[in-house]
Amino acid sequence: MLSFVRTFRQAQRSTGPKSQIGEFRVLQLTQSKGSGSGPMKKRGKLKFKEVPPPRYLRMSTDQDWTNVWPTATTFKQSVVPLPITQGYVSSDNENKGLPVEKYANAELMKIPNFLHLTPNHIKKHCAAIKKYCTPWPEELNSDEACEYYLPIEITTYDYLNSTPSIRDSRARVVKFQFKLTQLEFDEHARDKFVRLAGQKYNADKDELTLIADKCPYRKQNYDYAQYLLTALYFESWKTENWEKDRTKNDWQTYYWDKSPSRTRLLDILKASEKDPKSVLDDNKKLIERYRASISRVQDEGVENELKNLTDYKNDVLMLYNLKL
Amino acid sequence: MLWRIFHRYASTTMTNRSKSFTYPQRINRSPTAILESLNTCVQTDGGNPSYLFMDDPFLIPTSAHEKRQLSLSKASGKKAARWIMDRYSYAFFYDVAVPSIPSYFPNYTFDEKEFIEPDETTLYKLMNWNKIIKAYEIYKKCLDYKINISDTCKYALFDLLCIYNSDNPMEILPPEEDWYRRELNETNQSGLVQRTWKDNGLAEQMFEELKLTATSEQKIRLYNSFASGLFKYNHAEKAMIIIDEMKQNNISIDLITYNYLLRSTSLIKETYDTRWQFMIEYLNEMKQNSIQPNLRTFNSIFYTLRRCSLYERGPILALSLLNEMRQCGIEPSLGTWAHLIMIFYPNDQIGYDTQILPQIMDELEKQYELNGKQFQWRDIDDREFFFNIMFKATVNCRDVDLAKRIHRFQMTGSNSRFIPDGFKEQMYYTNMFRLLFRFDIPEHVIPLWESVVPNIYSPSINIIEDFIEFISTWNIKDYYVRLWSDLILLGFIDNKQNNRRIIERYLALLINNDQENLSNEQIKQYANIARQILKRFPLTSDEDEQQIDDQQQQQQQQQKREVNEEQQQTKQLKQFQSKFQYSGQLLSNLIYLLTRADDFDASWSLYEYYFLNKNILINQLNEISLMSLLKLSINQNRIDYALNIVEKINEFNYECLSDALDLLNRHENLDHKDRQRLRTIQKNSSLESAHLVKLV
Repeated sequence: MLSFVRTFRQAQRSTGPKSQIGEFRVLQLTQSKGSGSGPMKKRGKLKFKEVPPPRYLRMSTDQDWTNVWPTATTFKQSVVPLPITQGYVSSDNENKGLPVEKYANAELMKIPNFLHLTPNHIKKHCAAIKKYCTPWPEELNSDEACEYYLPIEITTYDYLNSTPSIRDSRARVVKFQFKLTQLEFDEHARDKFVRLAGQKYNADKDELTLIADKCPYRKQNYDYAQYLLTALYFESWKTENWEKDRTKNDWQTYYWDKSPSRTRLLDILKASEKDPKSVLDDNKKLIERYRASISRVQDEGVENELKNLTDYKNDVLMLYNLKL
Repeated sequence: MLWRIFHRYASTTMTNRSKSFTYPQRINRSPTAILESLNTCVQTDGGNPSYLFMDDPFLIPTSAHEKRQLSLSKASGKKAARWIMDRYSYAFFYDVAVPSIPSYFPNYTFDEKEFIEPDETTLYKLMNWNKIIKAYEIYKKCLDYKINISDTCKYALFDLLCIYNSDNPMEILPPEEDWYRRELNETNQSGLVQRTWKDNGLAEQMFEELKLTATSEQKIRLYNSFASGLFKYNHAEKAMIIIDEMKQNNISIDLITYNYLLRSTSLIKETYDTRWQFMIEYLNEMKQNSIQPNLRTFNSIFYTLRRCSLYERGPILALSLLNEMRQCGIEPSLGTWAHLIMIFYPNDQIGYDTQILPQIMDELEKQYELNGKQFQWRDIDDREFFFNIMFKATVNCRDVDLAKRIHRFQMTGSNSRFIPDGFKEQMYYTNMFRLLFRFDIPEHVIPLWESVVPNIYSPSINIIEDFIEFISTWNIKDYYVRLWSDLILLGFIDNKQNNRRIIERYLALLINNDQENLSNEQIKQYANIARQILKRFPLTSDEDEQQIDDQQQQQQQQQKREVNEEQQQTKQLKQFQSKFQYSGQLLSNLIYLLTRADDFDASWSLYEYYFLNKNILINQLNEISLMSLLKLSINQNRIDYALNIVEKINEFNYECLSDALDLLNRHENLDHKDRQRLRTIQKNSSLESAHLVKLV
C-alpha cells in the first residue's frame, strides 16, 4: 500500500535573530537553498504486486477452447498456448537472429486473428442457429430452376464501419439483373429494347443490368430502377411515327425479304421466264439457297468470310446456270 | 407489378415445373434471438477473469480485496463521468452516433425551481422524477389553493406513497456496488424482519383524506394499496385492522394484497397451527372470490411455512402445496425450491432423512432442458436458491456428490447469475469447500479448486487455512511451492494481523512434512520461499531503528516547525503500519529452511537477529533449527559459530545438548581451546544426558 504524505510549501516566518519589537519582519516567500529538508528525499519505489505466470501454462490439452476464446478480441499472449511468432529479423544482431516471440508483440496484436472461429466454434454456432433456418425449397434444384422461378436478381450492398454511425453512402446502390428471355417481346420490341438499353445490355449473356445510384436512399433507387425497367419495356413495344423512316442502313439484321436484292433477283428471273407469277414457285430451292447465302454474307461479317463468299459465288452461278 | 410482366418464358424447360413457387415462411425471431442462441454456446471458464477486468497477468485482480477495489473504483469512475456529463452538459451535445444513443447523452437533472407551480402536470412530472415527498407538498398546496386535481392523479400519488413508504425511493446502485451491498449497507445485515412503516406518515394522512371522498371502486384501490403497503413494511397489526375494515365495508381484496397477507402471516399469528389455519381460511376466501393464485402466492405461503421452523407438519404440508401448485399449472420457480429446502432442513442439526435434495436437483435439471437451457428470474425469492441448497447439502446432508452436482448445475449456462451478491457467493463456496476438504480426495478437489480460484472465487482466510490443512493431511508435496504462489496472489502474505498465521501455518507445513526424500530442487525452492519472506518483511533490528531515529532528530534540528510536523507525521505513520513482527517460531522455521539449502550467511543473520532482539520476540528458537544450524556450521568448518550455538543450546536447556556435544566432539578439527570450551559447557549444563557424553 502506498501512503502519500503531502509536503506543504508555506511562507515561513523570519528565522533570523529574534526581531525586536518595532523592527520590521521580513517576509520570505521561498525557502533559500541552504535550508532544505536535508538530503533530497528519494521518491519511494512503487511496489507492485507479484505478476503471476501467464495462464496458458496451466491450460489442459483437452480444455474447451470455445469457452476460453468465445468472441473476437485482440491477441492475448497470456491466453494462447501456442508458440506463435511474427516479425522479420534482418540480421543476427536483432533479437539474436531468432524470430520474434509473442510476448508484447505489437504486430500480432494489430492483425485480426480468427481464434474465435475454430472449427469447433463454427460447429457450435451452427447447431445453435439451426433452429432459425428454414429448409431450401425443393423446387430450386438447379440453376435453370432458379432462373425459372426467380428470374430477376436484385443486389444491394451493406457496409459496416467501426464508427458510431451506421450510415454509408455506398449502400444506396441497387442493381437489377435479368435475362431478356424472361420478358415477352416481338422482334421490333426486342430490337428497340436492346437499342434503348445500350451499354446496359450484355449480348453475350443476354442480360440486362440496371444500376441505380442517383438517389440518396436505397428505397428511392429501388423504386427508380423499377420505374426504369417498366418504362423501357413499354416503350419498346410502342412504335413511333419516325420509326417508319428506317432505311436499309438502320437494319439490325439483313432482311432479304425487304431488300432491293430480292426485287432485283425476281426481276431478273421474271425477265427470263414466260410466266411471271410462278417464278417464285419454280425456282424456290435456288432462291432459298441464294437467300441463305446472301443473308449469311451480310450478317456474319468477318467470321467465315471466305466460306460465305464462296457459297454465295456458287449459289449465284447455280442460279444463272453458269458453270465455271 | 413487375411480376405480372415477367412470364415464365424460359424456353429451356425440360421438366414440368409448377407455375408458382411458395417461399418458406420466415421463422419469427426477436432482434437479439441469434445473439442469445450464440450466447448459449459459451460456458463459464474458470481461467478467464470477470469481464470487468483487463485480461493480462499484470492486471488481473486475484485476491478478494483487489477485486473489490477494482470493481468499485470502476463504478466510481463511471459515476464521476456521469456526474461531469450532467454538470457540464452544454459540452456534450454533439451527437455523432446514428442512430442516436440516448444513454450517452447528458441526463436531465432535477431542478427544484421548475416544479413550483401547483398543478397536476407538476405532480405528474414530480412523480416521474420519483420525488414523492415534494409531490405531496405540491399536492397539499393544490388543496390549499383549491386547484382541481383529477382522481387518477391523486390515486397514483397515493399508490406511490404506499409503495415507497412515504419516502423517496432509493437510487438504484450500479451493479458493481450492488454486488457488495451487504458490506456497504450497514443496517439490517442480519436480514431480520423489522417494522419500518412510518406511522402517521404521509401515506396515512392521504388515506384518511381520500377515504372520505372515495367511490366504491376507488375504495377498492385505496384500501388495497394501503393494506399492501402496510404489509410490505411489516406493520401487520394495522394491516389486519384495515383488512377487517375492508371486510365490513364489503370491499374486495385483490391478489396482490392476498399475496402480501400470506407472506406476513408469521407476524400476525403466533403458533404454527394457527398460522396454517389462517392461511387456509384466506385461501378459501380467495377461491370464493374466484381469484386465481399466482407464483407469488405460493411462494409467500412457502415463506410463511419456512418461518415456522421445526414444525412437524411442515414438510408434509409443503409437499401437498407443491401438488396444488402443479395442479394450478404454475411451474415452481427457484424461490419455491429455496423455501422448500429450508422447510425440510430448518436448522443445522436436524436433517430429515429424505432424499429431497437429489429429487429437487433432478426436477431442476429436467426443467432446465425443457426451458431451452435457460432459467428466468421469476420471483424475488429466486436469489436464495443456490445459497440455501449448498448450505443444506453441505451442512445437513454432508453429501459430496450432491454438492458437486449442485456446483456443476450452477456452472452450466448462465445459472451463476442466480447468486445475487458477493456475500452469498462467498458463503456458497465456503460451504462447498469445507465439505470437500473434509470428505473428498485430492484428485477431485484440486481440479475443482483450480477451476474456481482465483477468478471466480477468491477464498477467505478460513478456507485457505482449511486448504492448507487439507494439503498437509494428504501430503501433496508437489503442490507446496504452487501453494506459496497462490497465497501471494490471493493476498494472504502481507502485513496484516490475520495473515500472519497463514505464513506460520504454511511454514509449519513445509517443515513438518519433511524428510529425506526431498529433491534438491524442492529444497532450493523452499529456501527461496524463505528468502522471499525475508525480502518482503525485512528485518530491522532495534539498533537500526535507533539510527533512523537519530537521523530524524538531526534533521529535525535543522528544520522549521511546519516541516518538523510533517516529519513527525511520517514517523507516526510508519509506526502505525506496524512492521512485521517476527516471532521465534517463525525465525526458527526460516533458519531451518535456509540451512537445508546450505545458506549459512542468511541463517546466521537470522540467528543473530534473534539474539539481538530477544526481548521483543516471543517464542524461542526451537531445537530443530538450532541443530540444523549447528550441523551446517560444522560442515562448513566454522567452529566458533558452532560453539556459540552449543552454548546457546545450553542456555535454553534443550535436551538436544547431548547430541550437540557429541556431534561437535566427533569433529576432527577442534583444537585445544575449543575442546576446553566444550568441556566447560558440559560442566555448566544441568542436563544429565549432557554429562554422559564422552568428550575427548
